Amino acid sequence: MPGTTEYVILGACLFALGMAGFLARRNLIVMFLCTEIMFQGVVLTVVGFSQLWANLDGQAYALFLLVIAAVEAGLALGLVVLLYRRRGTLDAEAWSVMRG
Amino acid sequence: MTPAALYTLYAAFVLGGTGLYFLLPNPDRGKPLAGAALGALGLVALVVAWALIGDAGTGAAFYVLGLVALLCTVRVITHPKPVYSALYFVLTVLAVAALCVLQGAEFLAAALVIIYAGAILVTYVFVIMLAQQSGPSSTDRRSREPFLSVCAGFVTMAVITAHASKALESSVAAGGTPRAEARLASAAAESGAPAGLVEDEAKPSDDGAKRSAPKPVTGNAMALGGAVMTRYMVALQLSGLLLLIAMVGAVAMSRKRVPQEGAVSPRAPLGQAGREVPPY
Repeated sequence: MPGTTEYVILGACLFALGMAGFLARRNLIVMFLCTEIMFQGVVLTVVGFSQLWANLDGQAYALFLLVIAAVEAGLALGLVVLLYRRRGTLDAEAWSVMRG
Repeated sequence: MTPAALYTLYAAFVLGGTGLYFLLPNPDRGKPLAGAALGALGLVALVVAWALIGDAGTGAAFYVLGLVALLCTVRVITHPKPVYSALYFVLTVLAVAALCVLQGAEFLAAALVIIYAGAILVTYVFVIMLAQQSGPSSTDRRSREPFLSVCAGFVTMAVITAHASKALESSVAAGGTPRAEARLASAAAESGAPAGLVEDEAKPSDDGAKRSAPKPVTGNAMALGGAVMTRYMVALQLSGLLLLIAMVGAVAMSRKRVPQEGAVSPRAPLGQAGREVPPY
């Protein structure tokens, strides 16, 4: 195995750190940055597997992942600006209207 | 993976998780120094675990780049100012791109740098400027459920790691995986383009490669392009469509007239907005 285990571990670390940050932070912009970090973890994992199996499927998958990340960033940041204009704050807690 | 490596890994996760809990912005319980010390211990344990796993093919560059990526990610999560989070995220992207180069994914590394560090990050910085909050607000100074979120994240990390390592070992034991010596050549051959695109375009570079050095016949970018333009043609078209839809949606969203919400008690004067969060 050409270092695949290490890559998978590093990818899992990045994914989980992004997940922890997404859950912990309240700033909408930082929350979306954390989703991008989760994407980075997935990219590392699929690139590692691509090397392990000696084909390009993983890299092609990572390329489409980049497309999804770009789409997500565009839409999410438009949404963030819209929400900021409505409430005047970036706090995600400001939108927890359905809390019991 | 040996049990020693696995338990070292779990110790690294516990140490790192505890460190992250103390590092997360929290005015009451935040102990940055203790958190940094614990996090550093966790990173050391992670490096030890990597060394114990000891696959061939990872050198000092992997350790350095992996540590840079992890440290910058932790700073993205813990920094109270969003602008600095975005800048640390650039460093994470660069480290990940370099790690991709180490694994032979040069085109992907270039795409990561251009798209992430070049385009997406600029969008983020623009939005941070547009939604400017004066000074670090309580939004950034206080985390939401830091203990539970750190637990969720690090338990996920441990589960993924344990299962992935088990799956890797069983797959290698079952059939073995093709080693990556002739990876680029075989990838170009099996990228689903027996005729046409890849082979025709491969010829010039083939000659050039023979002239200069006995290298693989096709580069990573050419092989990946062949795979994407043939086997993943439908996905490529669909992603183009997706980008178009997202663009239309973003334009429609940004043109939307925002109603002034009556529920929000007196609107803060210009420049004061966002300084305090009213209790919703």
